[in-house]
Amino acid sequence: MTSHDIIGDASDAMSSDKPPSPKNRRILIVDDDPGVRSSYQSILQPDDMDDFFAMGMEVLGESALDAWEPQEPYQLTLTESGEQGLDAVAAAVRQKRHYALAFVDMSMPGLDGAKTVKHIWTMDPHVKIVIVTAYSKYTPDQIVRVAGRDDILYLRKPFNPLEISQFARALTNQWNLERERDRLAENLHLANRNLEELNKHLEEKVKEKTALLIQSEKMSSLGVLVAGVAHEINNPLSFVISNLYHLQDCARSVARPGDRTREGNTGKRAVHAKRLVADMHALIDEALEGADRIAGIVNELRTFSRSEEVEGVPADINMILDSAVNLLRHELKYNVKLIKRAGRLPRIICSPQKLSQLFLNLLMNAVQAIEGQGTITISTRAAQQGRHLTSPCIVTTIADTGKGIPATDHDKIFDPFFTTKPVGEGTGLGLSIAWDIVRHHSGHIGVKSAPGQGTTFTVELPAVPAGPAN
Amino acid sequence: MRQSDILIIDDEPYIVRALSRTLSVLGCVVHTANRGESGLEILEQRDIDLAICDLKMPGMGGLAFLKQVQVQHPYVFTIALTAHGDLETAVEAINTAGVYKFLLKPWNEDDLRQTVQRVLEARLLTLERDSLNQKVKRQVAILKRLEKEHPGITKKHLDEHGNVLLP
Repeated sequence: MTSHDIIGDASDAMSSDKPPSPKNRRILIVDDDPGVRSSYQSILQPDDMDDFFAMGMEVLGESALDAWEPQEPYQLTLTESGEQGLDAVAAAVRQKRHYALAFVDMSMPGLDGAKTVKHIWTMDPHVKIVIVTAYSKYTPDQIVRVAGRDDILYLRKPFNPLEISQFARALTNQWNLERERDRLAENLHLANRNLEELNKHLEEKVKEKTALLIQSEKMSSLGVLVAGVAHEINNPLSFVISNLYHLQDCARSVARPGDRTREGNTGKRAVHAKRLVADMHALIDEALEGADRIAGIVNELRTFSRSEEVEGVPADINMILDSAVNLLRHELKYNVKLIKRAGRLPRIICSPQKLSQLFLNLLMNAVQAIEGQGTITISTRAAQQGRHLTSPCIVTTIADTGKGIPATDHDKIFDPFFTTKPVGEGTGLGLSIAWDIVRHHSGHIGVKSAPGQGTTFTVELPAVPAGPAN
Repeated sequence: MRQSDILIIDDEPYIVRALSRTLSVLGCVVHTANRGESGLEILEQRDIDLAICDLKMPGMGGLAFLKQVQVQHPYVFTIALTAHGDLETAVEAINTAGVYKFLLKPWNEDDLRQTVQRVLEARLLTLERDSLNQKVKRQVAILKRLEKEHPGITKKHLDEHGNVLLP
């Protein structure tokens, strides 16, 4: 049974602006003495009281008005025995009009007060109970033992009307407060649950979007590469095809050796044949070399394909750098001088594809920073500890003589979408992804740069050793 | 096509070789260079009819070379060679550097032959037209002078040298 059942309102967890529920002012009286029952009535429902009793009380000097007047009238149910009381409670629960409070006489024929209370609570554990007892026959401990709970209040007979009206007011208020608290607690609980679900949902969305963004960044850097790669592939392809054409001509020449060729008008057949064979060899060798180059570029490109991503495998950073440089060879050829200082490096455990993307992003930035002529210097070395990593690590620096980054931007460049390029050029994600990849490897990346003085990125990667079995 | 002088410029030596083979078979006299600068030198030294040039090259680059040729050697017609990733430069070359046609890499041998032929023909036509234009200009100049000195004379008969034919 929840507070929702008791109050009977449909709580919307997200709305906390519900008007307060009407206060529960139902009180149950369980007492076998009719005189006592009348007293309760006169105290708690003074307007309903018999005039005779009102007069009597005035005569005796006790004014019903001495009692505190409740703000709203109580709804009283008078019962004569434990069993009747229980019936009343059962009916109340069924009709969802619970009692807030019950005054229960201790000594009654049949079911005594303590047992009555015990049974009341099995039906409705929220009812506030006051046990009214004339005799000190029962100790509170005994009553508690029977009733099963110790949150019972006691009143001695004969009672003072003030005691009754104060208990009534205080306990009905408490009952109402408790229900309100229960309702709020449940709202809170529901709200929390909703928030948790929302959070989970959002986290998933963020993960999805990030994956998409990284993919789109890959695509856009791939797009930059395509122009270069088109050149790298189409050049060798051109002479492979052309050479095959010429080989075809040679084949025809072989078939009809008498034909005039570019030898001119004369030519000894033997010399001609020898020349022809030599030509064919040259054509074939060149074509094979061209095909090889194409295969090489395609292989380098495969490092970008998603299905190739693996984690935690040994790799050589120098080789990964070479791969990245090869892919950018086209960009580097024309106005950029490349200096490579490769130190002796152990193989380390890493995600080679991610590192490939990392270096590619850094190299691309370096290329784009250079206006006109410039130099890019790549160096690697193994160190016992770096400036930021305290354990053995591989330190890679990529330095360019490009336009440099102002100091005010140094901590912004790794932010997603930060870019100094005009709209439409670049996603602004390159360095942010680089940062993520370095963090993924528990490494560190730093930048040193000033306008007009070039830029140096330093990456420290923990040298997680690749075991001998690898 | 025979005995036409063609200059081939590409930084990829095997491509220069491949193009040379094709054009030699057609009877052209082939000259080669790997960079724009050396290409310009050859143009100074020889009478070149057609230059085929790659757009992406180190040093001065294809576009710069072609613009120079347009200015310094207006009767050297040019064809630009380019890989697929570079179409924008090709379009710029045509629009601003006077390139007559461009070829994509890898090229089709027949396309190459036909394109070279067409460009050489176009060049000859242009030379002829320009030469005829010159002649017409000279003629008109002479006639104008005559008319100025002897008004009404052009209504008389003249031979091709501007001499008045006396009946």
